[in-house]
Amino acid sequence: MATENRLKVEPDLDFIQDVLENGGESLKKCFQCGTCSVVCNLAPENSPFPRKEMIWAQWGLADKLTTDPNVWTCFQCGDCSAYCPRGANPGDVLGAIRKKVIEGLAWPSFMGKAVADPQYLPFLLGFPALLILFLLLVTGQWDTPDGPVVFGHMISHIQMNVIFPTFSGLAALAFLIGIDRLWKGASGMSLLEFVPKMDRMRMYEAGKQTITDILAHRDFEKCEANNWRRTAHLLVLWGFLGLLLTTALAIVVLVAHEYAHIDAFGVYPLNWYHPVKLLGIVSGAALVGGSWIMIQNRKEGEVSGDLKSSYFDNLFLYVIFGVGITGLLSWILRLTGWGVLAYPTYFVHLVLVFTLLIYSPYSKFAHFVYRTVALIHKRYEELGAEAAEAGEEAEAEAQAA
Amino acid sequence: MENKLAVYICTGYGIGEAIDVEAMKKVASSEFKADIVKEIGSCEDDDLKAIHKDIESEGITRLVIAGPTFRFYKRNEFPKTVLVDYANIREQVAWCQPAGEEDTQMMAEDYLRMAITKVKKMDYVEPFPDHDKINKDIMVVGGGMAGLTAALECAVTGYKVYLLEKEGQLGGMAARLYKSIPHEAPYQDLEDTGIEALIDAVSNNENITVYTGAVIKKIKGAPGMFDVTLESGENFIAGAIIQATGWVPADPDHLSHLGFKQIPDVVTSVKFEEMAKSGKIVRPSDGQPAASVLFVQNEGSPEPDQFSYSSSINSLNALKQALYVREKNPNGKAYVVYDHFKAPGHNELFYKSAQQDPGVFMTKGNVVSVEESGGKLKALVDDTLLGEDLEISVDMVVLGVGMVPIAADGEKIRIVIDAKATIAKGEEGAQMDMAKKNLEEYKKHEGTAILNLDYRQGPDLPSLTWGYPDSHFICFPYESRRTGIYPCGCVRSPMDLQGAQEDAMGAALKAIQCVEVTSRGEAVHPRAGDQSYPEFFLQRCTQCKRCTEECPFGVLNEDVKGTPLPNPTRCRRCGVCMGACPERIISFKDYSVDMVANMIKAVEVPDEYDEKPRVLLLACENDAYPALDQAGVLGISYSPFVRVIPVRCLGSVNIVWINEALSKGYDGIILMGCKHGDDYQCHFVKGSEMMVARSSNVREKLQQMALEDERVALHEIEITDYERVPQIINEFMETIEEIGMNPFKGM
Repeated sequence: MATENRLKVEPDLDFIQDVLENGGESLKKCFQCGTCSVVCNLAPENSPFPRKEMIWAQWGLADKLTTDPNVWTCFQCGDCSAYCPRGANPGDVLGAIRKKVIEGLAWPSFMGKAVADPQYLPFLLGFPALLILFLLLVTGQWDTPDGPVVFGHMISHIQMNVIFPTFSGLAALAFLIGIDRLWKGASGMSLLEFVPKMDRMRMYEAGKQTITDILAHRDFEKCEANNWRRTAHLLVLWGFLGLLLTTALAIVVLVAHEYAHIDAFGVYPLNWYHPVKLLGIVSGAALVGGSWIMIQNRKEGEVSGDLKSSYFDNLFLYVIFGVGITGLLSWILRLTGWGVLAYPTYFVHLVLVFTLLIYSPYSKFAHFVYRTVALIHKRYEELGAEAAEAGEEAEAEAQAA
Repeated sequence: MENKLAVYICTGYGIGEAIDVEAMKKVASSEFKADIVKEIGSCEDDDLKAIHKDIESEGITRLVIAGPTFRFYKRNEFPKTVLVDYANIREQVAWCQPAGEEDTQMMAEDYLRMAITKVKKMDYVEPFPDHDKINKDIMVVGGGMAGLTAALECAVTGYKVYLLEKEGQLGGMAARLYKSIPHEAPYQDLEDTGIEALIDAVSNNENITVYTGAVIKKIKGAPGMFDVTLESGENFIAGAIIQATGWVPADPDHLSHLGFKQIPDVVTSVKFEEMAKSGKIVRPSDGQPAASVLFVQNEGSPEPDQFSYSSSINSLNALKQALYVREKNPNGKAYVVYDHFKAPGHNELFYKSAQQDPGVFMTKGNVVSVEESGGKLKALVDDTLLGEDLEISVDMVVLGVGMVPIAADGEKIRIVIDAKATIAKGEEGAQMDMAKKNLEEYKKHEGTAILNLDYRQGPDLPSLTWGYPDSHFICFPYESRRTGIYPCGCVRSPMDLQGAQEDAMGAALKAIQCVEVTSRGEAVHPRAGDQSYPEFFLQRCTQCKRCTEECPFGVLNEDVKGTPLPNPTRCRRCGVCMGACPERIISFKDYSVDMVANMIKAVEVPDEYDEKPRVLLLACENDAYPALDQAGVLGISYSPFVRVIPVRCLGSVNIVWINEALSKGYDGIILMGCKHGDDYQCHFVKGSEMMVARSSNVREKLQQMALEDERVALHEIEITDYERVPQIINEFMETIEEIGMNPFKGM
């Protein structure tokens, strides 16, 4: 009867409408049988999902979902949807909920809304395009130079590498604020409160386990219905990480050459057999291959009804694919020496890279960060519970002795 | 008329291989001196035609066919000039006993003896007198959806209808509804009730006479001749009655903890419906629109019975009213908290579609309190599907209320009348104490009468536990325990408008069946077409009133002395009166105490030293007898020492038959009837129960004769018990073997 521990219900009709319109159109079909929670191989025993997430979403309880770490435990593998007797497709609904959660965690919040809404797409793409055009205008070479294609001639790598970290920093700040919101919802403490109090060894262990699990896609392995997604996603993830590393190494090579005049690491443009270049080529191929498989399979999933894709999903996927394919094409065209094609392609590549980067905290890209954080939190809590249990047992034993 | 007995022994269906047909023929010709004894190859097609030909050419008056079970033949297969019986030597001998055995042969011969004995005792069945003078008009009580539909259906079929409505205008509860749940594919959108059009159709139908503000003062008579007098003095005769008196909302006084009668903005679902109908869903307290409404469909009170009248209709109604909230306000929020949500049949589609509405929020849960808080209502809900206890803030709370049938319990009213009469006599003693106790217990029934029937057993239909008129609602919907009176609509069971319409059509057909069949002098139900009826040899009546008390259908009234006054059109021909009568003065032309007693005696009972016991099995012909036949069809064998006699109902078994059998030397008696009790299966409602009541007399008789209690066994059998029935017989035989033979053999 007590009033204090009660959930005060105030359904958010707009939230419901948004979930319905973004891949979760089957949300209201759920009649709470709980089959989904039973078939889900990832649902934790003490807090199974997605049944309760389904009714929270049906009741428009946006706050509950924004801070629910379980939303991030789901990989939309589709096992629950395959077994759902009502066609409520909880997997797809959770995908739509994650989209709403990313929007809810967004800072500044208008960015969350802008990225989520297709009508702002021209502005989203226009901004990086204008930015690079502006750079071209003030520092680069406007027309396509004759002779061998050297992208550094069109736009200075160094300048690029100044702009790049600026936006990376902004994105990182937005992520930090989002993580703080997520953390506060999940644990009741902001990071500022939490970090001084945390058990560092436990956090290290939780981080290590979570990240190795993610890198190996161990949770994804447990999925049955859409198992193909594991390979494709693994390719994209490793491709992306490889390209990040490539970029970092390339900056090292460049800086060493330009400022320290050390050519031992190689000289721009790097030969195809240069280790950094090789890493880039292989990673780019993985990214393109993985994302292409995903695009194809999502199309098939849409037709068969096994996997719903929203604008939010597709935007991210096509940008990733675009980044990869334009990157590879730029390289090939550079080798062919067709400046007329090579320079515009490179331009598009840069626009897409910036699109990916600038909007990362608001696009589906954010799942890369929020999921990792949510899973670390979850693992941290689990390890704590295990330790407490072990402690209790030890205490009981000691008492018995 | 000259008596000419013909006996046909069928040799087909494996009978010829199982038994000695010549010996059978000898039984007919030498023991019973049959005029014609013939073999036939089968009992269908040309063989059957040959029998028909013989009947015509030979002038046969009594006919016995030894072959398949009587259930094999059409009713009235043979002309009325011939008295017929069938010895069941196919299903119950040839198909369930080893061929060529002595015991098999004895069994077949005994069945032939019993059939010939029966046919010799039978008399020609004539319909009851004046059957052709019955009235075929139909009275409908109640002018709601069911009553209007029933009246219109009868009227368009060509029957004159009297429609009675107690209110000043037609329409009943249906006229108070804003909309109806969907009844047409795809079962998604709320529909108009259609009641106005129906009222118009009824009002403009010249076959229908409408009485509004009508109260029944008295209904005398019986089906085909109900003599109805209204309080207003009007009087008419009707042949059958349809009771469509509908329902009232249960009083949710027990929901005061949810604010009922305490908080103005807490209303019943019926009140909410009226608000929707008036076009304004507003808070009664301040007249402001109710944008968020909580519909309570749950228990949450310590009273266990409070939702006794809850049903799927309550669930669907809550869904419908939730959509009203959404219809009136696009930002409206409707919460439905339920304990059990029931949306049977195609209503599942309505549930699915209503669930799609983003503003409808449903959860199982328990609303524990409602209180006013800051101009709104704060409802606390426990045990929800959201995994937490909730606090919901709403403008209004709607309590789903159960549907209580508007019916009177005739039997209870009669108890009150009798108790008052006893008390008025003023004689002290046990009877007086009983009367006072009864009056205390049943006083609330006084003055509740609706039909005011002039029936000895009470002025209204007998009721079931929750006040619904008693009927076997699965097998025999619309039936009641009063022939010619058919309840339909919500008085019979909670139902929606479409359900009420369908129900009304069923009841209309029953009423029409009643007047038509009665006008031919036949029984209506369940022995439809049976023209026999019980006749009373009143010179020997001792006015013991057992027949008038025990008749499950209130057929018999009494004169002042207690002599039964028969009403053949109320009768269902079960024979319970015949079984009850200690003087054995009640008989049918084709079914009597004497006839069955003679059949029992016709069996040859071997003496003690033959070690061939005999057991009499009296089997209800509705379930037990077909189960025995089916055992034969499946070739399941059982003891050959059993002799089966079908009875109309176990309630028609007169104790005399048991006495006769024991005196004759039968070693035991098995009685097989239908399940009785609250969930009875008996076609005649009380028949098998009556037999149980009488069995104390049987036990007494056994004691008198110094016989073991186990010699008489009573079993409840369903038609599907064909595997159990042979087991019961065999186990009984083992019991007999243990306790030994009946010492009265050969006496």
